[in-house]
Parts: sequence; C-alpha cells; structure tokens
Amino acid sequence: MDRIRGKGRMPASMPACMTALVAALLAGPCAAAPEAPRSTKGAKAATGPAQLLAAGWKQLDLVNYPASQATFKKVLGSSSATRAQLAEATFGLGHLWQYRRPGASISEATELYQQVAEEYKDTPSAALALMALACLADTPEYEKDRRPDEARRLYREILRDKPESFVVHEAALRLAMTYLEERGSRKTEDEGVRMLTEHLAAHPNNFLATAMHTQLAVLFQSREEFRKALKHYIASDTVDLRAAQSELTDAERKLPLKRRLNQISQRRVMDTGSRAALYYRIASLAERKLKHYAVAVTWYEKIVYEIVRDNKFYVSKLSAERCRKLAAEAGKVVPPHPLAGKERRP
Amino acid sequence: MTETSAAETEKRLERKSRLRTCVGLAILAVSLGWSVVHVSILAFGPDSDTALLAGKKVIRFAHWQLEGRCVEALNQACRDYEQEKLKKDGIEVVVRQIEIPERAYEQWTRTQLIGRTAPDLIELRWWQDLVVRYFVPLTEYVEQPNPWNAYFAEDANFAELPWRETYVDNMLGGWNWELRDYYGMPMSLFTVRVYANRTLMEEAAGVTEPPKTLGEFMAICERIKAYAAERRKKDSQYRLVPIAGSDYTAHVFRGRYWGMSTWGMIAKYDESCDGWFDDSERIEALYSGKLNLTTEPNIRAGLRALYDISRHFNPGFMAAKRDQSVLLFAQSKAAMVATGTWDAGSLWRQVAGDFEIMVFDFPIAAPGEKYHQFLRHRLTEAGARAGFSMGLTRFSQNKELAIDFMRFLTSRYYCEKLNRAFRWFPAIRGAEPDPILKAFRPQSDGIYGGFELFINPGDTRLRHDQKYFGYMSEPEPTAQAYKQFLVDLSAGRDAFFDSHKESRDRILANRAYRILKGKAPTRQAYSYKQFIADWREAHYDAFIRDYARDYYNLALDDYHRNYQSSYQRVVQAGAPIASGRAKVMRHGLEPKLRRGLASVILGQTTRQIDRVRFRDVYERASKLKEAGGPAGQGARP
Repeated sequence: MDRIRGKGRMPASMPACMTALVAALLAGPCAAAPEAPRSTKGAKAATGPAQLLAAGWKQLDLVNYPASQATFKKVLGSSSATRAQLAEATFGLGHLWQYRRPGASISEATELYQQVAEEYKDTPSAALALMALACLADTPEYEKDRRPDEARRLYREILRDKPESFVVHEAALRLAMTYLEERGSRKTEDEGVRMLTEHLAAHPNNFLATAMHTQLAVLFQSREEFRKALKHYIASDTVDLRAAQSELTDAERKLPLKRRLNQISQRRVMDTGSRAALYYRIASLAERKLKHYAVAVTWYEKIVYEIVRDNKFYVSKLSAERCRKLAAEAGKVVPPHPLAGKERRP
Repeated sequence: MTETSAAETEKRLERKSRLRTCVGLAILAVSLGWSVVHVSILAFGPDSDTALLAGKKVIRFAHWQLEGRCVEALNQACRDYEQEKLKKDGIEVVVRQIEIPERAYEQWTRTQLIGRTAPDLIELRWWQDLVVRYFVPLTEYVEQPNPWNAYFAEDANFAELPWRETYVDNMLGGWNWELRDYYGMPMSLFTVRVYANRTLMEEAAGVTEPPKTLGEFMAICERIKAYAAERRKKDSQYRLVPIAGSDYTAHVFRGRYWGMSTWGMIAKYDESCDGWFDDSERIEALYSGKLNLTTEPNIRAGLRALYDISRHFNPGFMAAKRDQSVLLFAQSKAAMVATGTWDAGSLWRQVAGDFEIMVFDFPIAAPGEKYHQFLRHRLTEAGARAGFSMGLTRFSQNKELAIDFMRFLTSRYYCEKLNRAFRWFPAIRGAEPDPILKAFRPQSDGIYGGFELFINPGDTRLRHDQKYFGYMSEPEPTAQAYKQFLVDLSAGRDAFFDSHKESRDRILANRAYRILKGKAPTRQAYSYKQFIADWREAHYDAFIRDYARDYYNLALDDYHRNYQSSYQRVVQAGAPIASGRAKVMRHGLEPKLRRGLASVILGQTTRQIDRVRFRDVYERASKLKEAGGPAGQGARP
C-alpha cells in the first residue's frame, strides 16, 4: 500500500481494497509482493550532510530518482554542509538530471554542472563537473550535437587547472582522441600522438595507460607502422599486468604460478576475452607482418596457457607450433611457456 | 400506417440497443466483481502472500525456461533453499518462481522493470539498455568465495575459491562486454549435438556406433532412405526420414558446417590480424574486388554441403518448427535430429525406453571425402559460455539474500543436483552432469567460424533469409521432370532458352549442352544422376549469383547504418563511466574502482576508434561503388 502511494500512481484517499486491486492489476504477478521498492531507507536515518550525500548516491544507484533528488536537495538546504558537500550535492543533482529515465534534462544538468565548475572551483567536484560538460560536448546523445571545439577547450581546462584530479588522465586521453578521430591529415594525427606520448612519458603508470597505449597501437597499425604498433600493444598489456601484480598480497605472491595468474587476472583492467584478442593480434602481427616468429610463439602460447577458455585456444596452439618451427629454422630457440607440459584444457 | 410502423420499428431498435447496453454493462460488472473477489482472495485470503509471508523475507525470480523438468526442479530448489537457509542462518525465507513463456518474456520484463515491480532476479537476455539501468553490477560479489561450497563440505581449496573461479568458464557467461562488468549469474552450459535413434539406425542402416566422418554420415542417411523406400512398398503409410528437419534444425546444421567451411577465409582476408574477418574487412574486400561471393570456394563448399545434408531432411522442413522436428524424432519417424542440451531432458523423457538414444558431434570430412579441404576441422567449444543467467534487479529489497540464493544454486553440490534434474550441463567446475550428457561435453580442439553471408541487422540479412529459404527448401526435379528437360533441350538451346527464362535453367542447359554436344540427347549420354548433380550445381550458382548481386547493392547501406548506430554504443557507456567517476570521487582511486572505471573507459574509447575505421572504410568503399565496382561481383548485369 505504501509502495503504491509512494509511487504517486493514485490518490492516497482511495479505498484500501480498491488500491490493492488496481495495484495488483497494474503490477501483474509480482503485485502481491510485500516489499517496498521505493523505500527511502537510509535517507530517513541520515541526518548530517555527509550521510545524506551517501544516501543520495545510493538512491541514485537504486534508480530511485525522486528520493535521490529530495536527498540532494536536503544537503543543499543544510546549514552545516561544507562547500565541498554543497558542490557534491549540486553535482549529484546534475548527474541525476543527465541520466534519469524518463525525464532527463540535459539543460538542467548543464546548468548544475556549470554552477559547480564556476562557484565551487576549489572543490573536487569541479573537475568532475568540467569532465561531465566536456563529455556532453564530445559524446552527446545525438552525434549531430557534437561540439568538438568546446570539448577540447574543456579538456584543456581540466589539464591546466585540475592537475591534481584523477580525471586529468581521462582528459588527456579524450583530448588526444578528438585529434585521432579526425584522421585525414597526418598533422592532426601527429598532434594526438604527441599528446598521448607526452602524457605517458609524464605518467607512465596512470590508470588509463592501457587505453592510451591501445589508441596509439591502433593508429600505428592503420598507418602500417607495425613495429610501433606492436610496441604499444605489448605496452598496453604490460602496464595492466604490472598494476595488477603490484596489488598482490604477500601470500598471493607465494602461490603456484597457475593460481597466481588467476589472482593477477582478477586484477586486470582487460578482461580475458579482450586479452585473448590482444594476444592474438600481437602474435599475428609479429608472425604475418614482421616475421618475428619467436615473439609470435610467446603470445600465441599466452592464449594457450594463460587464457585457455577462448575460441582461439586450438588455433593458437597450432599457430604456436608452426611459429616455433619457423623460429627454429631461423636459428632462434624460444623457451617453453612456464606452464607448458602442465596440461590446461578449456 | 406507415408512420406507426416506422415508430414501432424505431422503438424496437431502441429497446434492443438498450438491452445490448445492459447486457454489456452486466458482463462488465460481473467481470469486475469477479476480479475484485479473486484479487482480494489472493491478496488477503488465508492462502495469500500477505498472510503466509508475514515476517518472512521473499525472493522472486523470473525466467522463461519452461522446457522439460525445469519448473519442477526449480520449485524443488526453492523449497530446499528455504530449508537450508533456515538451518544454516536461521533466516525464514520464501522463494517464488515466476515462469513466463518465451514469447511474452520481453514485454513482461520491460513492463515490470519500468514499473519498478520486477522480481529480485530476472533471467537475462541481450539487453544493454535495461541492464545498464536496472541491474546491479556483481563484480564485488563474484570475487568472494561462495559460502555454500563450504556448507556442503566441499574440499577447502575449492570452497575458498572466489565464486567466479568456481565456474568452468570463469563466469564469463555473466560478463557484460559492453559494460565491462559482471551482471549475470549463470547456472548451465549448452552445446549442440546430433541425437540418433540407435535402434532405428541399427535396423535401417546396420550401424550401432556414431558415424566418424561426414562421408559415413551421408552414407548412413542414404541407407536409411533406401530402407524407408523399401518399407513403403509394403506399407504405404510408413514414414521415415534420416534427419528430422525444421527451420530450426536447418539453422543448427548451418551454424556448424558454415562455420567450419568459412574458417579458411580468415587467413585470406583478416588484414587487421585480430583473428576475425569482420564487417569492415568484408566491405573493403567486397568493393575492392578481392572477395567475390560467386567464386569464393569456402562459401561454395559450405552452402553445397549444407544443401547435400538437407536432402536427408523431411520434405517441407523449412515450414516446420523446432518442436515438430523433435516430435518427429521422438515418434521414430526420423532417425536423427540436431538440437542442443536444452532438449535432452524432454527427449529422454519422451522416448522413455521406446528406443535408445545415442549422441554424437557433427562429423567432419575425412581425407579423400567430398569437402575435405573445407570441412576438416570441428568447431571449437573452448569459448562456450555458461547460460541461464540471472541478473539482480537494482530495486530488489533483498539483494544479499537473492545473491545468496544464486550462490546456493551454483554451489558445486546443488548445481550438480539441479542440472541433473534439468538434464543440462552444470556451469560449475567438478559438478558432474547426468551420464547421458557425456557426449555434450564441450570440445576444445577446433576452429571457429570466420564469415557470415550477411551484415546483421540489415537488408542483406532479410534478403539472405528469403533466398536461402528458397535455395534450401526447393524440391529437386523428379525423373519425369528430367525426361521433360531432355525433350525440351532436344529442340535446341535457343528454343529451350525461349521457353525457360530462369537463370538456373539456363545454367543447367549450358552444362548439359557441354556434355551432350555432338551426341543425341539420350539417357545414356546424360543420366538422371548426372542431371541431378548438375541441377544442384546450377541451383547453387543461380542462388549465389542472385544473392551476390543483391549483397553488392545492399551491403554498403547496411554497413553505413551499423556505423551510424554504433555511436549509440559509445554514448551508452557514458552512464557507467559517470557513475564510476562519482564513486572514485567519493571513495578515492582504490583498486576495484580504478579497474572498473579504466575498463569501461577502455571499452568506450576502443569503440570510438573503431568508428573511425568504419568511417574510413565506408568512404573508400563508397567511392569504389560509385565508380562502378570491380567486375565479376554480380553487380553488373
């Protein structure tokens, strides 16, 4: 009953049995559920601005837009809220207006983001608001509404004014991509390459380094600069692997290789499917375009022994055998994969 | 008199109209009254949820798996969970199953989700829009061990594994590639095989073991056909076909043999070295003239082999549905049927000792056999992903409990029990399937399909389906038609062409002429067997020429449409990225959040750069097409 009233579907004065009947008819087989999905649990208990903010985000996560909106507004009305909390609540409202369905309002969202970016410049939310505005210009709902120049201006603003924020790496990546996406002139592409290369030189292990190397690799491959492409494809894996390895606990480091690989795999940015595709591409480029058979063996075998459950398993196994022979003919001995001989079947 | 009569008629009509209104209102009132009583009883009666569930936690889950023993097995699973949960944690919980027929599933789930009345768990389909909005990402849950494995006293090593690692596919069946997160909790694995009636195979073809090669398979089919023809001489009502056909089984066979035959095209056309002959490479190859559908040997081999196999299906198979083909097999009117694990439970139950079923993988061509060059590797199932995947809805009031229920169902002990009841393949490592499913175990050694004959979705798909239907289902000429063909041909080629306008007839006539040149058109010179062989070739040629022309004309538009709509996929990733940023702002760049955000940004930017490739390919191909395209593509008359 409360659930139905909370939804605002019918007046609260409606007789109880009628409400139940209509609710049942409207909702179908689930109608008799005694739960209350529109619960504002969390928000009611929350009193301070910090708790309210947490509750507001949680409600947003549960697709409870009206409750979330009310909670963020409560923060804005709270006399004890700090500037950072006010900024976060305003940003939260902007986020809500941008993503609520139905009833999204990009103009409302833009206004709120702008408010955060201008009035709360000194808060962590400001960088996020700028990024949100940039993304609205760069990847709006309809392609015809794209405003690349505006997006570039905002990305540059983030890079210049918010170097301490984590979104700075995303700004660098997206700014470079606006150039890479143009393709057409070598000069434009080079501008994108320069941006990514410089950012990677300054922040080689930033959390988006994998994506940055991938972009560079794809570009170099399209230019048929296969050596450079290979270098960046391999770097995209290495940087991800290194980050995952650094997260292992001491106990995990002592695990046998197979178990350790599983632990590392869980901490990778790239899922196993994407890695299988990447390893196959590296191996295939090395084999077909560069005739680096030893490199090809290494990466084909990574699919066979490290990925295992992928449709490329058997094909990689055959390819690794073929390349091993070709490498041997060229006088190169490729050491076996550490897991070779320990049969791993999908 | 006339006026009085008219007034009376009018009154009578008015009375009738009133009566009709009253009857209508009465029916409406009775229906409404019945509804009120019915719903009130359901909602407030002694057996209502309100009365029974007071104080208990409730989990509801919806699915469309109504096959075999699914519903009853899941009902039992609900009861078992309720008991075990009470025993284990002292929590009173009630689990309710909502079975929705597949046809209504899409509408039902959308309505429930949008109306926020959805159950806690819903079987997932390919719903990007719904998943991103209404389902909970499960990464934090899948990295924790499944406590039910310890409860059921599994060995410590297994019980301590993260939930994800207890799956045979590392839970990739629940992974969402677009959103780069786990959204599903799968329960079973599915593969497809050929089911054969061993009793009938022995009786009709003298075999008790599955065929090892495609040649043997075809020979068995021939023997069964001959046996059926013999039996029909004595009993005109006798019906037996080698393979139960339907549009569904035709697609099952297509999925296997088309995949095998087109694998070789990857090596030829995969310029990007990613192991796929993708849409962009296809368009580039097609409009540059590198790929010619009419002459490509892999395409020819695949389609010709499929046509040969389909000659052993029942007549009119393309108009039959899956259930009909399964029934034909169950009734011993077909010796074999191709379908998936999902039918195993129902089939074994239906035949119930009437005959013995044997199951085998789709045979490949051995050296020396027809099509060996193209059909010599099986398709791999190494990448098979677990299915029957349940998603957790965002507004579930008992999220932890719903997850716990799924963990219960996917604990090694219970997953085995449940899937044995389904007669499906369990998705959990070490869970043993029902012994009848031994032959369904996924095969890792094999290749994968390299090319599809249409761009999906689009007009090429539509055109392909129309023409492929005709190609596969047209009956072959009878001996009578063969005689008529020879008679018509004897009048001379020009005369023949005047009366036979179809391109297939012309191709056939040209072939026949080459053989008959200088000879009298007699049976000795051109046998019925030869005629049928030529007819099949001509039938294929006519189909592929016709389709290649359409494909050449339509493919670029389809590709362009896909290119344009791919922007939406870039935009779709915006919401999880924004949520990820907000979480990082609140909690810092801690490992899980960092990975989640990096992963979804990687996915989005990869798609963005893929679009650049789409655009470049489209522009290049457009120019080539405008310039008239290369010769021999079927585009030119």
